[in-house]
Amino acid sequence: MELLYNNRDPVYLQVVRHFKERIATGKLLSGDTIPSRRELAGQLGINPNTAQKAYKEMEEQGLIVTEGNSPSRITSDTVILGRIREELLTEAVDTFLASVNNIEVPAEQLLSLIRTRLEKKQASQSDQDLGEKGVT
Amino acid sequence: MIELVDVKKRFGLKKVLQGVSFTAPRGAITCLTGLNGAGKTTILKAIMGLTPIQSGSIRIDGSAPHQAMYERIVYVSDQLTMPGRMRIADCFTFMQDYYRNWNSDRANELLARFQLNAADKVNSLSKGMAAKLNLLFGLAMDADYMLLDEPFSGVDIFSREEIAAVFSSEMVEGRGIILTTHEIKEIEHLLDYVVMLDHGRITKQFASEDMRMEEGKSVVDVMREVYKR
Amino acid sequence: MTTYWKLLSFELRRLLLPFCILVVFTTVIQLYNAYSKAHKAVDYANKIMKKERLTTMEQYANAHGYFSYSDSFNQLNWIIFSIFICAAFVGFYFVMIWYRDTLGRHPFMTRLLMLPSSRNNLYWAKLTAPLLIMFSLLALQQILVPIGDSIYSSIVPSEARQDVPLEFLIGLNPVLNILLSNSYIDFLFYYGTGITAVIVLFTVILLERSYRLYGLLAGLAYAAAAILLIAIPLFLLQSDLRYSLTEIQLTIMYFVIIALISGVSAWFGQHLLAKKISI
Repeated sequence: MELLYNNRDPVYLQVVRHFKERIATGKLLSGDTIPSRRELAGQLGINPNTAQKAYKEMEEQGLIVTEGNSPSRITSDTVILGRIREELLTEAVDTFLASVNNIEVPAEQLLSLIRTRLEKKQASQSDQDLGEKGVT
Repeated sequence: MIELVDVKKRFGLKKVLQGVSFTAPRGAITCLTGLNGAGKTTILKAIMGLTPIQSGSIRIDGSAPHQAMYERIVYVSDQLTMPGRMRIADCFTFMQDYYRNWNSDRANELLARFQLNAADKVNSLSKGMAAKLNLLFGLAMDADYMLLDEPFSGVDIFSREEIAAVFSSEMVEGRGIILTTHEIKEIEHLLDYVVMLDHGRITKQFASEDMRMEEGKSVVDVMREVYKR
Repeated sequence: MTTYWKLLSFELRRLLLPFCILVVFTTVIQLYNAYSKAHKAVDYANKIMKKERLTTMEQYANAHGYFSYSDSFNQLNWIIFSIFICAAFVGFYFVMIWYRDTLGRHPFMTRLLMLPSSRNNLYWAKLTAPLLIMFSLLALQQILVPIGDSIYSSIVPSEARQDVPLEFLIGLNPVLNILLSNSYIDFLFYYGTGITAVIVLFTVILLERSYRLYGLLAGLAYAAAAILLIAIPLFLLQSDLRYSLTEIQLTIMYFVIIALISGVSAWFGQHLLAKKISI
């Protein structure tokens, strides 16, 4: 696992964000164990202090829980998990809105464009799935 | 921690360090950076007692440096400091003879990891292999501090990645590391503290994550600001 | 083993090959010299005997004198040559022992300076290693003289030969006379002076390593001052105005001076190595 680092944002926050993404996209499920601080540093190619900071931040935000000496696990708290999804979606939307900010477009047109593209994407996705199952 | 307070040094009439003060704590990676000739290597040599200073003080864990202390601090210079005709295995024997905290197991483990051959002579190694061997000598000691002089210079990209991987591993945990480099870009994400030097003076020093958090600037951004000519 | 012994054995191991080469070289030259000299003598005698129709070596010796191993011992010969080669190497090495590890792509001196024990150990190891080699080569000379003599004696028949005691042989050769001197005082004088010279040399080298050009100049001035100082009792010993000091007193004065010079230079050299050296 290698992350490309944007050197302008604190590295430890980028690590936390990476975990939030994996949780939101279902790659990490609640209850899954995550690598230790040391392993994390090695896998991500970061300084162990940064890994330590990231861990602490994730514990403080309630993303992970550590019981005694066992490896830390992703939280099972659905409120927190929901909040993460919300946070990432909001962020994505804000980024999108910022990028179309300069293009003058009424809200309904924007929403209908989004709906069309989404439907198209879902259609081609299911075609792909059928194709994979060997159905012509 | 390693602490320098108002260190001044001349080479003949040339002023090389003009009042350098900084602290490199244990358990963190401190980077000394600056353009060529800024005095980075001189600082490392001064800490190791390889060159004298005229005024100011250097303290390691609170005391002035004395020779016995150098069992706990390793210096990885940019040149291999073993006789050319020695084989790597003989170098290991040498280190084992003189240092109680030489870890033979780790040395052999790193030898395999870096894909070096114990029967090779020191003067037969390529630049990349020599850099890795040098690093090996530093890592195989159970030392509290590691000083590295340009560990990435003149080394091919794959060796560079191997060397950078060392800084993410448990081998640096609990150690105080000072490394000098003038190529920050590729390794900025590994650094805890940055000390910028220019003509023997410190122009800026900061914690890299604080700089990112508070000012949204990368270390390279800060360098551009400081060194703009 | 303490660090000094470890460093000493390290330096000696590096000298092993050159030492063996010098031993073989010296031995071969001197013994071959004895062998060929003996044969030349016998051949010469045989030639003369034929010409003058003599039948025994005894007759030859009565008419033309005896041969001796000491012939041409007092001249420039192979013995002096072999000693010169050994001395040149040892002298050269006293300087190179510091510089060999500082030049080149692998400055081993850096490693030596970082060893976690007193740098004085390094100083004494670098001083005593070549000295040990030097004394070993001298011991070699000491045994080669009688061996050469017995080779000679085994070839030249005793009727034509005059044997000469060892001390006399050594005394004849100007160089051996100094190196293998019989008198204790002379031995102490020569070797005391030699060792003092080496210690002063080390101080000059360490001054150069600490302060480069200025250090070298200061070192040469220091060496000149040391030479002037020891010249005083020597000069007085030679001259007539002695300020009523006896020979014994002047000799003692000399030894005191070289002891002082050695002591101060050794202390200073170690101080430079510990605190002022710059690589």
